Amino acid sequence: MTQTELNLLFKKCYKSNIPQLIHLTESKEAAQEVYQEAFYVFLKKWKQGAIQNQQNLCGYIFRVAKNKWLENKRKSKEISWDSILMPNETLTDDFDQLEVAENVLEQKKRAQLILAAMKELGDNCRKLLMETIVYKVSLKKLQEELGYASYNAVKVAKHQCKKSLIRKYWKLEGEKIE
Amino acid sequence: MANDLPTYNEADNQLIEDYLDGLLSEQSRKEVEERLQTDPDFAAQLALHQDIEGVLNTSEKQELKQNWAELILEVEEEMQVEKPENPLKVVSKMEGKKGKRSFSWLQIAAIILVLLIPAILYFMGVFDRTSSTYPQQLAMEYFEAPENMTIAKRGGTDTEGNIEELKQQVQSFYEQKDYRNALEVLQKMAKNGSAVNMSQVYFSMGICHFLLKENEAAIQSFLKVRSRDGIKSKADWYLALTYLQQGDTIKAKEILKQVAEKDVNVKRKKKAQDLLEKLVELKTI
Repeated sequence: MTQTELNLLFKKCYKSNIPQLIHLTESKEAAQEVYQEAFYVFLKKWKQGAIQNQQNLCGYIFRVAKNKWLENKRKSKEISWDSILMPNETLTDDFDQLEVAENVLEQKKRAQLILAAMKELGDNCRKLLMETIVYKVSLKKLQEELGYASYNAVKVAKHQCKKSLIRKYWKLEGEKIE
Repeated sequence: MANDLPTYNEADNQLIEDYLDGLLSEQSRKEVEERLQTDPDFAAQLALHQDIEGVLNTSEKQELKQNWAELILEVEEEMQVEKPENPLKVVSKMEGKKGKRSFSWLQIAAIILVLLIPAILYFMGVFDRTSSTYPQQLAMEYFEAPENMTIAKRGGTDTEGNIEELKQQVQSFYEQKDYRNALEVLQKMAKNGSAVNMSQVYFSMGICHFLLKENEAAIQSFLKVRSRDGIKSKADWYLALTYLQQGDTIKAKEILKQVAEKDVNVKRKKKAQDLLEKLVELKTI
């Protein structure tokens, strides 16, 4: 499937799924959110080669969206139980709040450095890492798709790319500290 | 210190990768988990691998959602067009018409004016298809300036720390039709590429250049919009109009054919087909 075909599918299934999802979630925004979550799941499964001979892709995406919505609903209930069990005082302490804020800032900086390091990699490395880390495409499938001579060759290539990413990250982190 | 980087432990990192990929045996997995409790350096290395996974996942998802937001806008627009008129409204309209068949004088005058104006313009040479400026007239006729300069933030480093401010400046200059200053701000944003959606920046630049009649610069900007982005098909449409404004009907037709064939936006597809027909007629005159 090309990018254009994927866009077409996104639009086609949006048209058929969104009225039912609005009915289910009782909000257009929530319906759009859950639809996008479901399409992301579909995209991952499709890249992994897990979706084959699926007759009704829009139906599949709808089922995923419905499950996602149920899952979110369950989670939001869990969160409310959480807040009941954990009294508010635990975070009202200034020191705790400061620590949480510092951690968030630290994580944000780290994320920016990882993305900057990723940008410095070559196209092939970026693709290999995105396919394996984000989309969880198997090395066996990538070996065939990207034309590596053996399973071991693609495994080594992935490892080298990750090594290069980590080194670039360290270098950028070092430059920041300096 | 830049030169004092941590030592990359090949064996540990390979072990961590295999652990995360689920390639380890039960025994090795247990060993890794035990080591994580006792070896803080090893635990820190694993945390970095996990953070890489988390950051890449989130940034990819954000990027996809930006593209999808564009598609959602398009599909919502199409759904509005396709939506059948409320049957109740249709009935009431028909009922309203029953007893009122005749036109008022004002309506007749309006119809005459509508029919007369194109004829007058034609005789004045404004719509003269043989005129050398006819392609430019068509470009202006079909050009609809976007209402907003939409530029989404991305997860990258906002090195200048003022992306939000720049976004507001662009929009404000654009609303005031000050395209020159809007372009200057967009160029500043482009320098901070990892923090913004670059396709949207190039697209906005293209629109400003088009409106300033800087066709070559507009073409270069529209060509830079990435093909995987949802905005690409929109950029192609404006690219065709820019070629037309430049008087290059051959290239305009080439792009219009693609839009007419492949664009997923029904409205734009239809406009491209109309425009193509007019350009084909132009050739035969």
